[in-house]
Amino acid sequence: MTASQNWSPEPIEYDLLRMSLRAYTPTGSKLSGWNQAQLSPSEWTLIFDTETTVDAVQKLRFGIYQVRKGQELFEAGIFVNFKMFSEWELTIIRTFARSNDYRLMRVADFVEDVFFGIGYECLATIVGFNLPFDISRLAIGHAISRATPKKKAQVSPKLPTPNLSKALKGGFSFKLSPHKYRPRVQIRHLSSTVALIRFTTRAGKSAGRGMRRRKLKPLPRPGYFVDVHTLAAGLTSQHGSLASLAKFLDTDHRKLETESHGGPIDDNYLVYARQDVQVTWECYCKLLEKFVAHNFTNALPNRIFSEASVGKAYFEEMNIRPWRLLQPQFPDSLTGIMMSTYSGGRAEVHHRRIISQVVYCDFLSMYPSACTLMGLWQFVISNGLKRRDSTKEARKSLADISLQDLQRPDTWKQLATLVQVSPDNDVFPIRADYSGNGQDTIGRNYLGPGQVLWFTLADCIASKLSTGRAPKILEAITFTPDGIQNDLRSVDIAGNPEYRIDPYKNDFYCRVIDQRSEVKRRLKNAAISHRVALEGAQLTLKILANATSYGNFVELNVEDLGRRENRNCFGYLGMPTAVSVNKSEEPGKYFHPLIATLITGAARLMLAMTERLIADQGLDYAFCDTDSMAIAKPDGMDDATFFAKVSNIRGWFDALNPYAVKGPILKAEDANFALRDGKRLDQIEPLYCFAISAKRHALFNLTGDGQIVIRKASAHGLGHLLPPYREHEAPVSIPAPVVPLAEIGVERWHYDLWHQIIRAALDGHPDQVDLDFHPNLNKPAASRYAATTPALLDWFKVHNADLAYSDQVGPFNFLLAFQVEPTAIYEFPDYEDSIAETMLSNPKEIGWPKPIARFSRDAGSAADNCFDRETGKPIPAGVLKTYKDVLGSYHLRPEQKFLNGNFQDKGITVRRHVKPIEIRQIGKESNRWQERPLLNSNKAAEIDYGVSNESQTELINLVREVCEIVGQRELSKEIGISRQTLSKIMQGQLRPIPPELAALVTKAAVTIRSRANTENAKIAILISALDTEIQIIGLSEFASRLKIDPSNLQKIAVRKRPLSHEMQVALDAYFEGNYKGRARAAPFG
Amino acid sequence: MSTNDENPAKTPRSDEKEIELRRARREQGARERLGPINPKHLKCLYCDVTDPLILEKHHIAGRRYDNATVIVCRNHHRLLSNLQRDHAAPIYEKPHPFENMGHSLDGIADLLEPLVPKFREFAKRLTKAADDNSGNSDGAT
Repeated sequence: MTASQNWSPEPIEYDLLRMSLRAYTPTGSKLSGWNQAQLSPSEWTLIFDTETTVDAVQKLRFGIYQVRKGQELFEAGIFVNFKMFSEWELTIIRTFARSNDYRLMRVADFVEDVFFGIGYECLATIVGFNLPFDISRLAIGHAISRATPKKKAQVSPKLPTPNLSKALKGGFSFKLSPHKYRPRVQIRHLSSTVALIRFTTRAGKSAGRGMRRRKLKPLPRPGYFVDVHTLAAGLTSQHGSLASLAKFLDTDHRKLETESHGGPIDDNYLVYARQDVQVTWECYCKLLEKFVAHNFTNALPNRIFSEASVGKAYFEEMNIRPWRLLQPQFPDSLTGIMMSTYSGGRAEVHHRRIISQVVYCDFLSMYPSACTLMGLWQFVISNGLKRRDSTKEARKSLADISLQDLQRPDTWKQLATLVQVSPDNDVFPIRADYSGNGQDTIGRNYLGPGQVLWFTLADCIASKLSTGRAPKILEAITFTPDGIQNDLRSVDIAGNPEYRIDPYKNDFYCRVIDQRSEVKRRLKNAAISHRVALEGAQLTLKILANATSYGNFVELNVEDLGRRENRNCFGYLGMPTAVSVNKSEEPGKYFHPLIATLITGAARLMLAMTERLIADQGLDYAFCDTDSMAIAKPDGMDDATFFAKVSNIRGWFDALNPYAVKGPILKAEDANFALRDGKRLDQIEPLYCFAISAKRHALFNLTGDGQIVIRKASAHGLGHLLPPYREHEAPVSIPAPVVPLAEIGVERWHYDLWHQIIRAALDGHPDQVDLDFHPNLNKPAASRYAATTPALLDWFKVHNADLAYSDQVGPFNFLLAFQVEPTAIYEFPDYEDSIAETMLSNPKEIGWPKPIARFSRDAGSAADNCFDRETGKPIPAGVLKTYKDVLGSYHLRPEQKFLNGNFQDKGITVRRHVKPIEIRQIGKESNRWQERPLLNSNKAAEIDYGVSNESQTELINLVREVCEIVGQRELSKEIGISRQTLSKIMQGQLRPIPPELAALVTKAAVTIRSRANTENAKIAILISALDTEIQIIGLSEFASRLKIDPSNLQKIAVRKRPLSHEMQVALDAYFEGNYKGRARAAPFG
Repeated sequence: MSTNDENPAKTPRSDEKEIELRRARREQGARERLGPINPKHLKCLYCDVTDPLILEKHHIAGRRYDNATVIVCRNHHRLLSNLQRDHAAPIYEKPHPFENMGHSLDGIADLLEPLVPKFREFAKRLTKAADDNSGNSDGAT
């Protein structure tokens, strides 16, 4: 079945859902944080690394450092927590220090003499691998960092200051020295690879008399911290360990292996630690070479946080001024409309939990291609946006447009249009709470009539391709670039004049992809001596294309305000709604929501076109994900016909290739081709797919003897779990992967799990997956946990309460988190009594135990030392959920955004018909997403702007309507609020309705209305059955059988009297019981 | 566990290294005083001095009148400040914008003053070169 076949002209039932749309809430701040001048670092570099205990506290044992002046080693040393070692161990350390000419000192001396004495006072570059962890080991106290000091410092206007203050709010502020004249170090974790780090402004008099007289303060010294982990991610896309990075960068020294962590000190362990520092330094040097090769004028390595930072630096190098700077007067209402049309890539499963033969295709550089086709580079370098009403034009072009028109690149240039539509079961991306658990997902579903909304023109065309009908356009706005900026400069990518881009002459994206194709072509025949340089250039160009084509345009940095502030929120209505927020979204430098929404809209259109072509060829699709689609073979079609049809579809897109090297833009992935001795052949081999839900799928071949050869698999939903076993411990019962795991994209245990899921499906029992393939799956399932944010560290509030700071679980500690299996608790009577006692003592605060253990790669042994993080009491490993428990429903994960997507469902998923019961305006969805699985709550991370004024009115009307059905008492009980509050809501006295309350009210109202509708439907059926029965057996006979008064029955039959509850029960019993088996007697059965 | 952990002496740095570090700290203080300037531009306007310890910021119009500064060495700063003493005396307690502008123009003229001998020298050289060439051509080409 295809999407167009799913469409039904008369939908039977709509899903009434709470829908969410992105909104824009201006912060009112100017271009803060942009182009802030910073003192460049001195020639000094401090590199250090710490070694800790392996318990939950991870207390510092010792550390090794190097200080370098330029490239020269100035000094090296070892700082030791002397309390942690025996006299014998100290002798080993002293001998090591003497023989290596290392300085030996206490931790406090290192902090004072080296960290502050050189790192701070000489503005040295402070280098480490995972610096937040190492810095936090040196701390003697911490607090949550504030945005501004208590007394607002008046900073000299002549000395612009790096405005990191706001960005660091909500992170940790570490006290490293007991001396007041030493600044604290603020660290805010942003992601697994990025943390912002700086020295705070130190207390006390830091200015000379002259400056104090003029009430000026000197330039703050934020320091210059470079985390090699972060720099590597930005410059090389490498997110791995120090060992893998050293291998990738081909450093002179490599990280050593050790098993001595936490054990007695020996010479080998000290050598290991010394080598770590040396490898970190060498990696830093190699990365610095790569950074310098970019030849940036202003960018500094400590500001490279990701690939996007590199992209931004190139934009700055070309002197591209941000749109918001050039057009500050652009109406916020329009920006709000742009944001409301924004949704991410399309990811969905169509063939759920069934095996299909597929050809897996993906688009060549989807987002850069979309940018080039739509001519979005002209928007990037323009002076601003011009807009015009294009309603008639858009209506006509939407009515006339066909698939063939989209094959012409010219058509794509006209898609910079946003349209307001009155939906009538058109297919649009709908962000809604499909599962009812408060978690929004985006599904491309039928949107029912009633609510006027904005979409990109590309989404409307995509809808037309799916339904065959053009959505009804009420208004359209077309945007065009307003002139071109002056003084733009050409830029040489990676400093190579061969890769020059002239922003006036070249389409940036097209040029970058062309250059990359050229480099890849040269790489095939390059001599070994040239390969390294070409590989580097190829990687840089890849990073650049991806970094500049999307993310920067929708960059919004979330700041915790610490208190609620009133703001204006602009969304789909184009009018401001007064909202109260405790988080603020600060747009990034190159924030440009129009470009962002047009790119993703175009990508969705590409997939809709593919879907249409697939349907036209009589094929189907198994799943799709942003830029790829697995085209499925229908039953009964032979392979040759199938491959030929897929080839036709791929060939259809060739005309849209905007690049110099002509060829397929919809590529068949390597997974489609046969392998021999690990090398890809040109011959296509039947590829099969098993997809569970969006982004959760595996692709595999089947050998002649029925063996599974997995070619691609996803680790979606598994990433947080620690591997239950290592690769060399893999079960022998499962054949080893034929394709390298890196190519498959998963770890060995993920591969094994997928093997079992596929095997179960092939054997005809997809619901029962054999998870007995490895004994370690019976061990407790451990998740990695790092206390990277104050919210996560709060886990240990109770545990830490009475402990000295050095014995507390502190910020950035790595631990393992487990889950309790409640039913297993009863098998441990002593423990059951213990937790019952605890829960009774403080039932509100303490729920089920919250198990945690020190970090260990062997989760099983770690679980033996598991304890409740709130009470500190040990927890028996037997009550913890095992990997088998956790993975038990992995293969059943529902795809709630579609019908036929529930746990046990399998087969073709069907698009839902959705009617928004309420429209919620939200902010950045991915805010603090790494925290969410651990916090088990989205509330803290969500940015909810509530519902608009119109939506609030609708909500109040809904509440009034429902109240008439069930009364205030029952409704308030259902919502869980007092009748007074409900009364205030109904009278409109509580506006704006707080978002959390609005969500509760909506849920309760929808439930009651739905229940009432079901009741009404049931009553209607009963009365209809009653009429029929009276016609057949007569009123008197029927009344006598029901044992009621005939006149009473007569009144019900002529609708003079409502059907009482007792009467309903009697009729139910009559039709269900007394006359079971009669065809007419069970109308509602 | 160790019992001598209370105050173990740290390995001292050599005197030479301590001196080098102290110098580096002083230099860092000087760089901060000069503000965030690209190291390539950290040089006296008039001479080749690049040591931040010797460089200073000169307020072109005088602190009272404008914030614009240039980087000069101490010697040239003294010379420029000496010229600034001949600027007009303050008129108002809070300077009038015109007064600011006047002092700024005076300051810019001061900046050019140390270059006047150079200009005169170049002028002389050029005219002399023209004079020396006078026998070989008819004048203007």
